[in-house]
Amino acid sequence: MTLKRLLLAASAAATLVALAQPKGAGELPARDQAPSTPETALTLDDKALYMEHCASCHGESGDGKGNEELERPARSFLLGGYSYGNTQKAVRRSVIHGIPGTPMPAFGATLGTDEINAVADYVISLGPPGTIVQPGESVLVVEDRPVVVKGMMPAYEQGAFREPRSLIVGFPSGTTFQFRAEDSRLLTVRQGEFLDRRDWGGRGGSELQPLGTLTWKASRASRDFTEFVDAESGQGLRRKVRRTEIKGDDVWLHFDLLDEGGTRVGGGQEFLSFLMVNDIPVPMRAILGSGESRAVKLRELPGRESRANDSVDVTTTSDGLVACVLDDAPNMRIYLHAPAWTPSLAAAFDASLRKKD
Amino acid sequence: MITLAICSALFAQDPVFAASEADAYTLEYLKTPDGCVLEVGGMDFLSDGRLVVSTRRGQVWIVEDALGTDFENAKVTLFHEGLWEGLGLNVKNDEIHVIQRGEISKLLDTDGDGRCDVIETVASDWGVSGHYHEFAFGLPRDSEGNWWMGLNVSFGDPEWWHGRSTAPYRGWVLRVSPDGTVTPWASGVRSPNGVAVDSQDRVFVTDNQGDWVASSPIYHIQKDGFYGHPKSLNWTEDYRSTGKLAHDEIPPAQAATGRTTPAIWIPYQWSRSTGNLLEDRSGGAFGLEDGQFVVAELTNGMILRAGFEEVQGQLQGWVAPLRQEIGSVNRVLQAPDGTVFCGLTNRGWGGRAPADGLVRVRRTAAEAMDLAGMTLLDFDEETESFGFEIAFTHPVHADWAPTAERVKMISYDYDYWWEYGSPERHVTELELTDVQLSEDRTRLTVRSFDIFPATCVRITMDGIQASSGAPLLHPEVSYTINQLPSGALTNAYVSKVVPPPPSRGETDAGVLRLSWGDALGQFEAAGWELVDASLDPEDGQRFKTSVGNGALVNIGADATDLVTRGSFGDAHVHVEFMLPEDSTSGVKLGNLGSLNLFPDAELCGSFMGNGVAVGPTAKAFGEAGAWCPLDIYYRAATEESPGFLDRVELNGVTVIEGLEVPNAGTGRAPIRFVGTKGAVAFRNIQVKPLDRPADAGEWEFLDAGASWDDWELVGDCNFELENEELIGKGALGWLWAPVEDLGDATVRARVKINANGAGALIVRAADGDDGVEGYEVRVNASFPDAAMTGSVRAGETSAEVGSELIAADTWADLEVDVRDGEQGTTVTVYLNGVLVNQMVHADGFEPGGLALRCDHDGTVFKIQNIRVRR
Repeated sequence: MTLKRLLLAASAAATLVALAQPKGAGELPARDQAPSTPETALTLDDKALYMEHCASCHGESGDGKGNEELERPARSFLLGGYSYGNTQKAVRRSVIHGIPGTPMPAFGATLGTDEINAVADYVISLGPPGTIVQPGESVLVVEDRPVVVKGMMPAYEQGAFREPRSLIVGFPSGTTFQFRAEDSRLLTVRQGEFLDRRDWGGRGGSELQPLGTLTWKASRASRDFTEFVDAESGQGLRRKVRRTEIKGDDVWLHFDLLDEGGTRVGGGQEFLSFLMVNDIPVPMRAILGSGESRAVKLRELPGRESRANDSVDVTTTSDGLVACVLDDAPNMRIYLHAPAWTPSLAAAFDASLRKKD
Repeated sequence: MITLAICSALFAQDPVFAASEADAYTLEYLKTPDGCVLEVGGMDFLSDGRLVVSTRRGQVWIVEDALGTDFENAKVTLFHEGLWEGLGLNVKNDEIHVIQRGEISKLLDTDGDGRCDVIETVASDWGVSGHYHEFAFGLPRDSEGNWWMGLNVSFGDPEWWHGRSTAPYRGWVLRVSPDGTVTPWASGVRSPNGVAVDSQDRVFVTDNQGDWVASSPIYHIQKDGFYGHPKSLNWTEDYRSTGKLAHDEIPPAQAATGRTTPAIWIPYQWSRSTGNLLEDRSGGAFGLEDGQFVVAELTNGMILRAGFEEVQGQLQGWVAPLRQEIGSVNRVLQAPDGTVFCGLTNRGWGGRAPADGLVRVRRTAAEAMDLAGMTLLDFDEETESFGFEIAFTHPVHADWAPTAERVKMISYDYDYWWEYGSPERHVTELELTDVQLSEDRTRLTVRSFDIFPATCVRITMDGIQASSGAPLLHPEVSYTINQLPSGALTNAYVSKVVPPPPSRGETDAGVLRLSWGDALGQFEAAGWELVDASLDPEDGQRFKTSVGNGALVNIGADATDLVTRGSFGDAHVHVEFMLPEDSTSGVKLGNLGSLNLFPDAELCGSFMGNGVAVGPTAKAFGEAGAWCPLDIYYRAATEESPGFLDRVELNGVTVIEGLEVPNAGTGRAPIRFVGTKGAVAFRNIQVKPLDRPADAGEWEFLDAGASWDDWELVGDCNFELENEELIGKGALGWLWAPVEDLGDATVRARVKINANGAGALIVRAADGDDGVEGYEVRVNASFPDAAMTGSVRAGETSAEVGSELIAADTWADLEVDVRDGEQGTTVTVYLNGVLVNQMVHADGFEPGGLALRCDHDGTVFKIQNIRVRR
């Protein structure tokens, strides 16, 4: 019966290797043995695995009091407490590699992946309950006022870097700006949900997960562009964020202007807001710098330049931004996150200038 | 019980004594509102008594009326969120400062709405590479307003338990002046979770056991002190000026005599993850003498007490448990009335429940028979021995006589090495020369000939009670003897330099993880989908699938076999499979034959091929709908030898062993995962080639040790040579090998990359606009970039491998073959001897050199055994 079913299955299998010389029914090769006794049947019983591999040192109850004589006590799982983490991943690693300097051996070569997982889960289950972060709980939400977050952001494109010192500003409108805190460069703009602080799920320290859709990213050249230079030497000045301020609906970033040696030569602000163009919010950033110990000025911006009217210089950058410099504020550059200087944008910009007056 | 104790105390003449810690110290747990999880990293008081709490979630909460009568129901409001952790907080003059991973920040509420709206960066001049273990701890201030903080080392390559210091001042204690100037103060710490400044402006730091740290110590921080973890030395002037980097396994030159010893080693049995500590200045309101310390302990869920004394200029002292069964105490803070607040957290670290929250600990009115202090006694001429005096809070019961049976003293020391922690070494029970009580029975003197410096002792006192009969609450105490009170100073350490143990091997080496990352990228197949699958509860012959990446399932129309792109000879195949009822499946092992998979324990694991057919020798299959791991070890037939099915394990049970397959065809061939009838799900397909192609031709080995001066570094990375191994560390940069004019050539090397690092081997390398260009073969295990190990980039052209074939921190044999032909230049990449990628580049690069590339900060790229065949 057994063999017949085997052959039936095989004959149905076009892709299985054909039996070159099928043996007659009941005539298996000599090596074959009778189907084994039930004792060898094994399901993945986590407790049985624990008893077999772990209990001699860690104790049957997991209290660390096994029968083996060790030069230092085995870990008690009842108390929890894992030097390298109590997540399944971390415990798995200890099971696979062992723990150097302790009698804990490596099981990577003797246990299969499922067995290691089962043992890890069982061991964790012996300990006290920990703080478990449910999916969604770590999502940061922007409600009625802007939110300023510090943390590590993942690389936003191939060739870009992970950014451990990021400053992320989320607005109620769903727009999220991602800056490098060390030089105040804007790297991305996203639209949609804000951030997931996924490192709550483990020991901490992993990347933030941006939830919005990328609507703008800095080009390679503009990533390293310094907005201001020393007026005399032409040396680029780094804008290090010193202070963030949520003021009503807007956010201000205050920065120090630092020379190559890290000495402060001046300071300034970046003002994050939105320009309403036909009821559509266009992200707008005004960056103002001033020198103290030395005179500073805006660095010339590469791009297509067009003089908009008597009082505004307009440049369309290679990043797809519109940058404006007002004649009467030569140390302030205003970036509009719009692809071109259209009449409606110009009108809204003009109106907002007048409004300020 | 406690109420009873207090009532009795009011009505009775004799003081009522605590029978347990719980009688002496009450615990009250704050009930937090929904959405408030206090994973406490820092705490301090505002002048109006409100308690400010920062958490590992990057939030800051304010607890109103924390000292009020109804602490459990104290009001909690959110002041701020969005910090990158908050593992230390300080309030001075009502200014709130908090330490994040990347900076010390001042949090202000300028509009008075109870929410922080202004964040000022006070200091940030230290490095953050991005490794998860780079915690930043703090944040007490001294009398001059300086902040004190500690920076964790990261972990990483080559062995995950080794500390790393890849960014400035990881593994250091830093002083931050009120103007934000950061001064690296002391080095050699590993995980300095607890930082404290006492009333004399002494700085104390606790550390956590690990590599080079034998058990959990309390350091008394000295300017320019080196506390033992070598990696931090990378940032000393000496190492920086010479370009030296601390070794993973060899103790640094400072190890023998240049370490600053911890003041106290806390025994492992009491502390496995130490938090911060505080100096009790409440005038005895918490049951401790002024100037003693309360120490937070996470894993064992308790607080300890410690006392320091200066002995021949060296701080040292004693430690003992104080109140257990609290929860995972990470932070302690004392209110002026003596109350101690315990901030809990253990997420990802583990420890005693509760795992988060805030606990108010108060001393009850009950008397406690407890330790009051301990001191090291000078040499006694009469007994010719040093000794200890242990003081108690009350006279010892008249019935108790001090004897050597009742008082035991052991001594021990530790190993200083790269392994994780150290057992207590040279554990010796000391013969006592004297053990006696003072006349007033409140002080016990214990002396022994064998009290030596650079050891720890632990004294256990059996059966001590107060005259009321109340037990001594803590009959065991430990003392760290760095120096004896008189005689020559020792320069030995409690934690002694010993020969390091041998390194351990890897289990993942040589494995190709065919279904990781881009799950189908390494297969030729149609009709297979990557989904989550489980047995359909309504139809056991089908799978229910949903969006996910749990399994490769042949549910598409006209599904073919799942055939590996690469060809294999001898191999270990690991796969997990799941079958519904009545499906049949199999794995075809090159030219050897098929391993048959049925949802039937009598048949599952049978083999057929080339005239050989055998059934399984054990019933190992579980059940339909359950995942079943399968491991197959086989050897392909060669001209000289038949094929072998060496072993088949199903669910960990051997079902076939030592089967010869005489008529199998020779040579390498793909492995086919077959859905014969009905659906089948496979996952975690891994193949470890057990053979290597022959080494024909003439290889030129690059001996970097001999030619190191000819290697040239460009860009922002650094490469060093260590034990004939090149170690590259990001940011972006290249190392030119002294090889020129590579035309048609094959390059081989063993490579290894850390998690989230990325690098490349560049053949026909030349200077280009964006740095070094050429046939850039990527080495990338887990950096989120589509091009994983084995991908090729050539200017604008690329051939990417999306599968994560090689795990992080795992050696792989990489071979790159570059050959000009009629269609252009063909670049072929082999990993562990298996072809994984091929690209034809029409505009073929000119012959060029050989370079190695590091992509970005945090990369650790290792290369061994580079050789070239032209």
